[in-house]
Amino acid sequence: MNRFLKKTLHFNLVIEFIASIFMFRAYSRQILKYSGISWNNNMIRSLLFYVLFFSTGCKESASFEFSVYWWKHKTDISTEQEQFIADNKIKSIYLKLFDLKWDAYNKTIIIPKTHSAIKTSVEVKAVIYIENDILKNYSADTIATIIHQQLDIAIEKDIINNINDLQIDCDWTISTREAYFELLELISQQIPNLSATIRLHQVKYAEVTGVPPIDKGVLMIYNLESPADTSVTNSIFNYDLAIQYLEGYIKKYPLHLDIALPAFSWGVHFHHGRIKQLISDFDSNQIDSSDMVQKENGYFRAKQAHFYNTYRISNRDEIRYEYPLVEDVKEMLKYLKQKLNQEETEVVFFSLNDDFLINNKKAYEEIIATHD
Amino acid sequence: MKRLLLLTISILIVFGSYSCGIDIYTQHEHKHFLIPNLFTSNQYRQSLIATTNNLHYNIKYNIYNKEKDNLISKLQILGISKSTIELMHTKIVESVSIEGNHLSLLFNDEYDHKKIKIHDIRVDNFYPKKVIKEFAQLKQLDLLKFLMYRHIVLFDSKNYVFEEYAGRDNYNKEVAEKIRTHILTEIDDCPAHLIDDYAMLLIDMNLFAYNHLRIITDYMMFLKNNKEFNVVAHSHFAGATTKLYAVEPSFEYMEYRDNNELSVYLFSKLFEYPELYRKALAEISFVIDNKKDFDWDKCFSYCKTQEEKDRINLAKLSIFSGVNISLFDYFKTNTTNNSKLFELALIQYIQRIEYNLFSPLYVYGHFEEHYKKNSSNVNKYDLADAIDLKNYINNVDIQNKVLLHMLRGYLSFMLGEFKIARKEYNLSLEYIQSANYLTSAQKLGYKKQLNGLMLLEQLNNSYTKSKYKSLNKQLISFLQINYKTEEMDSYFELGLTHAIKAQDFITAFCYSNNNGFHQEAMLDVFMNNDELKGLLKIVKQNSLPFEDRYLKKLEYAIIEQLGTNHFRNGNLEKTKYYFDKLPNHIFNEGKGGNFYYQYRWHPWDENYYDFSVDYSKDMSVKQMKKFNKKTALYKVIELETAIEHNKNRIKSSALDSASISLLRRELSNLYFELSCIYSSPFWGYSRVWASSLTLGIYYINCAPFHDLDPEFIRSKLDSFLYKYGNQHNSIKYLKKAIYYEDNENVLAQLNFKLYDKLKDPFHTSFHRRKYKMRRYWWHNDELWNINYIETLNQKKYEKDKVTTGLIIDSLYRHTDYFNEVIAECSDFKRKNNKQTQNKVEKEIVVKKVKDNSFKYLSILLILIIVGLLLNIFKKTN
Repeated sequence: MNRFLKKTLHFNLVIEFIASIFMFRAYSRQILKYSGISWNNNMIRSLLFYVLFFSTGCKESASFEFSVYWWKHKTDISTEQEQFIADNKIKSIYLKLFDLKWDAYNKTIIIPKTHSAIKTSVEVKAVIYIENDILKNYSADTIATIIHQQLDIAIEKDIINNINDLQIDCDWTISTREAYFELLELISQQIPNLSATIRLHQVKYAEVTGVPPIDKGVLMIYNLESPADTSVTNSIFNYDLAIQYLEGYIKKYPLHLDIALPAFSWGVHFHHGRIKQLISDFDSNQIDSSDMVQKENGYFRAKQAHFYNTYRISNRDEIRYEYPLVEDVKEMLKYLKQKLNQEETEVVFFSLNDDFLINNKKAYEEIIATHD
Repeated sequence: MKRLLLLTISILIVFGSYSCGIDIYTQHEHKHFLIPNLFTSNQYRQSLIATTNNLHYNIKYNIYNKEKDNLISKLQILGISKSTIELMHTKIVESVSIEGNHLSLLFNDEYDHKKIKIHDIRVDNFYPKKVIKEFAQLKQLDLLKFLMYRHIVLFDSKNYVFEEYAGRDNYNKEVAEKIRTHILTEIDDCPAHLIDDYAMLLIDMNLFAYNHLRIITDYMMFLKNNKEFNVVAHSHFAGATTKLYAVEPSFEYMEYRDNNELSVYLFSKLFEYPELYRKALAEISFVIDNKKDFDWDKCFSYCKTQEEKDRINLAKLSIFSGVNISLFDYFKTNTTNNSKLFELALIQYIQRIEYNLFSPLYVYGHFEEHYKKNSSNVNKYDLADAIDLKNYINNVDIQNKVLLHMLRGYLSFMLGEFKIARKEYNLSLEYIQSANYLTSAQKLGYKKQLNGLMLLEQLNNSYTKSKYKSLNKQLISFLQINYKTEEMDSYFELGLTHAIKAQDFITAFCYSNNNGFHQEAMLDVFMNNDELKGLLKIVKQNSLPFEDRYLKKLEYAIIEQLGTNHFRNGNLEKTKYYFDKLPNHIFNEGKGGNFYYQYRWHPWDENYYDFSVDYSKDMSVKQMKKFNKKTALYKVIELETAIEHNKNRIKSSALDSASISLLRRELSNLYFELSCIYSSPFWGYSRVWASSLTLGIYYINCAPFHDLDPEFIRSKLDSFLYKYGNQHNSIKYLKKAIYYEDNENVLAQLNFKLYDKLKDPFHTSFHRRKYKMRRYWWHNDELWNINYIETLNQKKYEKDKVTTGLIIDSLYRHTDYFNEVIAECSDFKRKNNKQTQNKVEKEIVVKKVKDNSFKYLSILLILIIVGLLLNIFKKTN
């Protein structure tokens, strides 16, 4: 499947190249016509052709800038993380300021939030996460008011400097679409650069799910499958599966798209055969052999009750270790470079606060260096 | 297989109904036969044991519930009135603000107070005179002043004045500081016993402001050394210990800075309050989650006593899912042989097995002695946990042998090893005699629990009829002793299920309660009149074993049921006998209005209202008359008498044709009236259902009735559906009214009415679903799709309908009524007439062919028999 797709991609490239030569020839003729120079002047013709070819050749595919997410309410940044930002010319840190969650039991909103600023030299942009239930239980006006209040508080506390930029993360559904889009319109009246996260299915089925009324979307290319599914081997990132959502759809998508790519790992913790929780920053190297043993299917099985970091692992519990294959991430960027019909694209890695990024620093730096 | 199918379906229905949002009780989803309240001390009892592995469920009881309970108890002891106590837990303050240099307070709209807004916060401004007088008389004005500040800070112990939708950041710091100044002044002036309470309010306010530093300093200043333990303040203090990060190096209480281990230790103190166990456990879990390298040794280092260490160990054990023997081992190694908390951990883990492994098997009907462990019905993980625990508990040694053997026995029972269970129970009983470590009350408690578990084991074994009687007697005695103080639902269900299985409905009724539809189904469908009389006798003798589990006026319900059964059977005399035994007021129109037919939760001493019936022969107009069940009966008796009288008169030969015609007309009218009364379902409605019959009837083959033979259920239901909820009587009397009627126009009306009834001869939706829309009956075909009386009746009605239609069309087409009313009916419009006629003709032809073939066969048979007889006759001669 993978091989087939790659072949298809190569074929496409050849076709595009031939088409571009004809296009450049046409452009050159136009320019010469308006400047009054004869097309028959060979020297000028050749010069103009090559200038146009190479200048537009540079714009042939998207150029990337790199940023990172910070998805933790604690904002203590380590020296290694700071170093990563500096070494890789990271443009911005997208800091999740707060969540808007629905407390079904008390029938009220709960707002877990970040209380302190990230000490960094790069620009910090605000991200907020909204649960669908919030859209079902509050009017767009009320939610917008809450958001603005919380943003004001964040500015007061110097967590962010301004609200020129805001990214909203919400996995809207058909039933919440209307309310969500109304909310985006309301917020965009006061926030100049409003963006929103877009899931892969929202690209493929854009006609059904709708396109949010914003200028820019951030396409999340991770968490592709349900981690609870025991037949899945990697729910975080699967190149082939992602391509199935993108091929033939991404070009048609009517918004400018930035890209969010995975730089995290987790352990999917199963208790009694059912998912119990996701263990963030799970690292198989940290496992004590007296606590867990690796099974043939790759799962780790607990031999006794123990703590993995703060997570309680009971006897016989199983953990499926999941992380993105860096090679696949590279391939994805190559693919996007060809497919994104836009000049500049911001790639945001999720997330700096995850140990996986720092533990695989070299590999990610290589990716950044290749596309920078 | 049949029962299994029934049970599975019934359970699916239960879950289905849950998922649809209808909470219909059939049986409890989880069984709790181990009732620690019976045998453990008050300090560590059942309520502190989580029966589920899931620690993330909603905690219904928190520190504010505890604070509220404490306050209620305090006010009750002082003799404060109920209404005032309620006021103290009602939100009366809408908002607090600052105007000028003063606090300004706006009251809630619903607060019954002369003032809407006050600027001067004083008790006489804040509360109504009546409340002030009440506290003044008890010399408790200082307490009232505290309550005023409590109202300002917390308005109902769970919600906060300053916590609006957008969270606590909204609250005004200036206002809070002003209130703080007020409270600090009060602390200086108030009686010593109120200082803690005021300090608690300060700590509450600090929490709202995320001022963890102040929580610690205020706690240290006002509460640290106090004898009385303030749960709210302590809980906030414990929480602040893990939340406080940035402090100056000179901070006096540096030990309390960002110290998760100390926080866990402090939270574990809340275990002293069993009702706060879950809350404390959730807090501890949260604090541990927040520190990757949580240091248990450091946490233990704060413990001064073994009990404190045990609490930490219990917390550690409890925050894991499943059964983890390594944690048990650790706990056991680090505690004493008589640790009550270790005992509690053992009990808790047995309860987890009860919840996870045993309950699903039991509820789904898969539990039996030596059940197959490798069956798909058994959860392999829960089984592995149970086996781990069994191996551990069989080797562990604790001082309390009574408990140990009892738990070993129950665990063996849950694993289907009944013989070992019996042996262990007996050992436990033996140890009770010599258990010096138990008080006599505890010994009694253990005996009770063992009694219950032994009964459970015996009832899950095969038993004879006489053995059943004895076990039943023992179970009733066991429940009578304990049911008022403990949660004994599983034992009630045990008795109920076994009594129903034995078709002993009187006993089953005794075990039942007013939840779900068990009692209604038993009274109206399953019990015959003899059983009802038997139950009535017990009720009259006040011999019901659990008097507060039944309808308030059960006696009336049974009498009315007996009367109703006779009414349905047409025995008017007996009906009158029973209805006359009931007080008149329960039949009269009363305050309840349509209450009885609309709502389920009525008590039995209310009235019930009339039902309406249409007295008009003309289908295009309505002429409503009202009856209740008793007036309907009296009217029926009156009509029957008049009919009898008129019939006798007709029989007399002295009458001329005009008089006969008049009498016939009168008879027709009388029959028509009877038909009208029986046209409503309510003459035969059993009010015990209280308008939930159409819903409740679907649960008739669910638990606890699922153990009955489906054939038995079918026959009972068949009989019920035939006698109630249809138009049989109404149709019968209408036909008689037609028979005696001579006027063609009226005959057209009556026939059209008959046609209408034959089209839909049911009153209830379940009849309609049963006979017209079979797909809606989701129960198994075996029970519902067998031909029975009502089905046969329906076939007959189908034919009658066609015939009536034909009669109307052929005999009354020329009448005014046909042209004005009937012709409007689509069934009688011209174009359809031919079709109807053809259909009727076809049916008649088929019937004739069938009748002819029957005739030929009969003749053939007679000829054969005659031939045989002649042959025999010849031989004998």
